[in-house]
Amino acid sequence: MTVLDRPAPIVRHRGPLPLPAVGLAAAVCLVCALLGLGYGASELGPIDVLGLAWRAATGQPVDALAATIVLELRLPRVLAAMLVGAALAASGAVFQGLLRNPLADPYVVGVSSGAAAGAVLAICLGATGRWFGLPVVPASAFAGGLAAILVVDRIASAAPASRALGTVLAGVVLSSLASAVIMLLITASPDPFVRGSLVWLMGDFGMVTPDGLPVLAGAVALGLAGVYAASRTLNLLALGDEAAHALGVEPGPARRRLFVLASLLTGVAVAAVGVVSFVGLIVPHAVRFVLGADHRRLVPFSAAFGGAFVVLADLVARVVAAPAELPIGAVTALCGAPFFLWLLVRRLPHA
Amino acid sequence: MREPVLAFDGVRFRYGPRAPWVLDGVSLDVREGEALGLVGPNAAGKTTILRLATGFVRPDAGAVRLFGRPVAEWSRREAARRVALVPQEAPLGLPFRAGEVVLMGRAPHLPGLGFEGEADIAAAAAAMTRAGVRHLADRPVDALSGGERRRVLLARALAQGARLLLLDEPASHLDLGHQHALVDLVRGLVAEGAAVVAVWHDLTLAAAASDRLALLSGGRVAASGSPESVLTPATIAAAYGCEVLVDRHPITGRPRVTIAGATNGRDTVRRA
Repeated sequence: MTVLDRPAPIVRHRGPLPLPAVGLAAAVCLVCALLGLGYGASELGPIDVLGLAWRAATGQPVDALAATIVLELRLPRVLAAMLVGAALAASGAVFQGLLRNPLADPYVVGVSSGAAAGAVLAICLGATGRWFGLPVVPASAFAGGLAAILVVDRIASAAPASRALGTVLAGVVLSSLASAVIMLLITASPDPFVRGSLVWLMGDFGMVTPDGLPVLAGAVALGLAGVYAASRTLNLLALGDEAAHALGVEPGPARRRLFVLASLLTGVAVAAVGVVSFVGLIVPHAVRFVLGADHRRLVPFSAAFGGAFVVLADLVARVVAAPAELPIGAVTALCGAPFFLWLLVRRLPHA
Repeated sequence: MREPVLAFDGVRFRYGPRAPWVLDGVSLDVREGEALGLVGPNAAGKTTILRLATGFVRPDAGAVRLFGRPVAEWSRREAARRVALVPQEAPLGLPFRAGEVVLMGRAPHLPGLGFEGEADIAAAAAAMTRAGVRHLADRPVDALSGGERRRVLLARALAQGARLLLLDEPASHLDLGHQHALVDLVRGLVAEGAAVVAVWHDLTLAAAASDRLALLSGGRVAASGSPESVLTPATIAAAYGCEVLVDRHPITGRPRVTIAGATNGRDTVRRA
């Protein structure tokens, strides 16, 4: 038997993470982070930032003002963007797998708006501190998001034959409902700061504070680890509940666990910066197109590229109309909405 | 006598407290090295029997035992190493490749976070070859034809390495040649000592593939036993409301069922 006669391997990728892709993802994240750190309202450019880092690393004296700008203004924002992007893209991958619907994403299925309503409700009630050690606003956002996905999933399950369409329709309606609640809360709020803020609906990294970062980072790390640990289960659930059951998974508890993890990721992201739409749709699609549908690769690479994508989108939001700033959600929606429509049209005959 | 691999004892089941009984006192069993064929009109409860056998639904009364133990007592993973299912439909949506889907059959054998090893790959490749889908490994499943997809799901069940295989209408969407190959495959599995429970619509195929048949009608076992004893014009007319000729296959000697004409319209068939 010659080499040519040997049948092709039954799968293209073996093992967890193909090394070239890991290298590429790391490089993309680094470059995007540098760009994010290198542009802003002040004149400090990427080369200056690199020089600053070099001098700091080699123990030479650094310009205090420049260091403050980079470390206290830009770095928290870049870190927050990376965490939010990773959280949204990973939860998008989870929703697409669990709902067996490539149109799903935290925004489309109503989780983002539910989480935003939860966060705004907590803020309007004045509950912005901690309660039994738990930061109330992210926790309330998590609860709002979880409630939204449980309702949407229940509605979509009622009509299994048109599940894909049902999910999207229920999500859209629930989103409008949550947005209306947000409007109502904001308008009725006596606090002029809250009243003036529609950022919850379009996302804004101006809201990020360095104190909020540890909670965001901790929750995102926890959520990503949990989702990665469940990524093979996610593969099986994507084959259908009955098939997953026959392959050793109890579908009900597994689905609920993943809904909780994805809502946690979306909830803390929304609590930090408001609703950033479509990241969870675009990024997993692009990754799946290159690396395939296996969630054991899809989840980590979606997280990495999602982080890079949101850092870039935030950069665009900051520089395109400088010195004014676009809401980040407007930038991602400008990319994501046409992409969603293209997907919808392509899939309609099957849906 | 060997312990039955799967045994139903007086099983009653309905989908919800006010729904009609789908199964109303069903008893049956299957042993190693034996193929049990489930036949009967639509909505007779054939698929529900498979769902009860995997524990996907629980009986309202009676007992379902797997390898001598009640189904509910098995952990999911333990059960999945012994029982494989080819479901009637597979929801699609995500572009998994056929090879990936078959490899997922190894899931119950892998540790929590583990990846498939050489042995799993080899088992999946062998299963694909056996189901005649080795050449489709790199194709996305949503781009396959209905019959190709059925055979990919069959390969997944084979890769699972289970001693009991539950096949829900394995012949649907298959062309003539692949139906023939399917019967050969079932007989081969049985010869190797596996137990097979399969739902069939084509009674001639059912007779060719099965050692015993159970004819379900109105949630009860209307007849069970050898294909020759179950497939008589009288039992078939009573269950399906359809007149048939039954003769012997000229080569295999097994029963061959030919539709002779309806005695009455399907809608007048009485259902319990």
